[in-house]
Amino acid sequence: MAKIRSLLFREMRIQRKQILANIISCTGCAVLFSLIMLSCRIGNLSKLIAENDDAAGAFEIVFKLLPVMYSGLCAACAGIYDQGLIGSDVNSGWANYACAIPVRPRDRAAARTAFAGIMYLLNILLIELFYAASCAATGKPLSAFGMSVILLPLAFAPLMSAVLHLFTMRARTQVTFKKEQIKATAVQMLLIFLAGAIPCGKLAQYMTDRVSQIGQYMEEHPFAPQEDQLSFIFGDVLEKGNEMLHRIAPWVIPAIVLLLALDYLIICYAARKGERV
Amino acid sequence: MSDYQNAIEIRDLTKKYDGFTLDHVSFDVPRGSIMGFIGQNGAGKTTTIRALLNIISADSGEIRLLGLDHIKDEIAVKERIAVVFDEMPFHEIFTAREMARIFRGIYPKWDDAAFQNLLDRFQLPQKKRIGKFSKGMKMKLQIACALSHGAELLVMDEATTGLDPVVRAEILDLFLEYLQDDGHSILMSSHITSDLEKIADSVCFIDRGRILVSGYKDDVLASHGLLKCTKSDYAALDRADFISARLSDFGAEVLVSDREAAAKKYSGLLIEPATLDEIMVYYVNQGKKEWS
Repeated sequence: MAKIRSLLFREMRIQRKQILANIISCTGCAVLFSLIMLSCRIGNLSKLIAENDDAAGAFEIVFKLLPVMYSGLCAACAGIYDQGLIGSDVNSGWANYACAIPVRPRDRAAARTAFAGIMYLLNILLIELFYAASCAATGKPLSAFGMSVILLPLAFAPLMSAVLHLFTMRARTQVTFKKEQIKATAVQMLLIFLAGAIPCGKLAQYMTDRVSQIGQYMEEHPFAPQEDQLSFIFGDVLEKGNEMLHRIAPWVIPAIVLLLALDYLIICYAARKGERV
Repeated sequence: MSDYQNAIEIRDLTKKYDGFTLDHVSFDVPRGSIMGFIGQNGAGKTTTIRALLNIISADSGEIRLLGLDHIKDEIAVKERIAVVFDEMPFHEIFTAREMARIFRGIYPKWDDAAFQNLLDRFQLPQKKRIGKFSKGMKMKLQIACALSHGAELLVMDEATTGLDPVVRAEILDLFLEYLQDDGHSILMSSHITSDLEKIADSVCFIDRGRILVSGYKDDVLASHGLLKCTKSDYAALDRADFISARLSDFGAEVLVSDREAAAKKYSGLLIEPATLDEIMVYYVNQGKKEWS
């Protein structure tokens, strides 16, 4: 345990500035977003919303998007540390030196996972605080579903870390690290692409299937309000999406924990099978 | 735990790379002694050290450190040894105090008082960032960390390379003090043979992945000699009697590995003692036999 504590201290110390910078930028963003929402409720923007129905609709979407954007920002911040840690270990020579001191791969993995866990907890706290603030600003009630689903982007961070660790943790030299980093980035991009491509593909398929119905509706109701047209086109999709999010929501936290455990196992494996230069 | 004769035992260590092979390397470092591991750059010193630390896996061979298997008992061995590399392996943002905090958890026998003494002795600041240290200070800090957890074996890979003579002398003095304790041993790889000539008990020459000479330094120095002769004398020498010869316009300088036998056989010729540096150079050129 003392070894893990020492290694954890080391990692926290190396990333101290980055952690502070992330906390400051996330908090700054949270304040800015909250001010926008507050303005919509009681400030200058509230007058605009009251006078204009279109603006009200647009802001409704913004209210839903801001917490998601904020969660994405926090997820990006949570996943940023690994790259810096592995790179600085290789550059300083610690990656090699760590093999000459009495530290097991599982100690290194435990310290790295503990560090990641602390960072995820910190980011979960920031996200939930912002969600609470956004609910307060928009006058909507806090819900368990909302609290859970807002963390969805964060679930990608340990997955990305696991990919990065799988490739780069075996690097002991800068040359190998750069090569492995490129491979890891390619796999990460592929995962991100798949994560985006699957829902987009489903949407495209849905739209293709409904193209004749949409055409018929537009012919029959050429002067229907825009809101009704959109509702006809996307109503089903939104309903299905909402249904899916309700199904996913309870699994977000377990997924983060599970992916962290997977990351731990990958670090153990990669550190054990480290590059033999 | 401390019942061993040799701090390091390496038998038939082999590691193949593309273009380089560590070829059946075998040597011992007796307990309580300091061995100089000598060879030019790329000779295989670092590969051997990395293999014994299990940083690289050997293709074949057996390594025992402090009487224990270097893989099966890896953690137990590493708690009792210290390693100093040629480059500072600590992140530059840390201070000496922070390094102590890290190592306190890693080494069960970490001794804060010993570390503090070494910092005082080397006049190293506790709160200054390592990044602001000079090369000499960085090496001193690395050595202070290495000698503060009661290590029985100190393994150094080119640790004195690039340091000025004053710092080197200071560090060599510390190593001699470290060796005052009977159980302490040092393996010191270097191509600065003058340092090893001062402090080593035994030496091991390696070149192109093969051990050329290994033994007690005094024996190696006593047995080798530089035979200086004219060109005509050189022509009369039996080529099997010498390692290699440096030819010049005035004659030849020839390294013999059995000085006594050579003195008897070539009684009219002058044979002078050879330094470790000269022995290394002549052995490295033994493939060519004659060089200038």
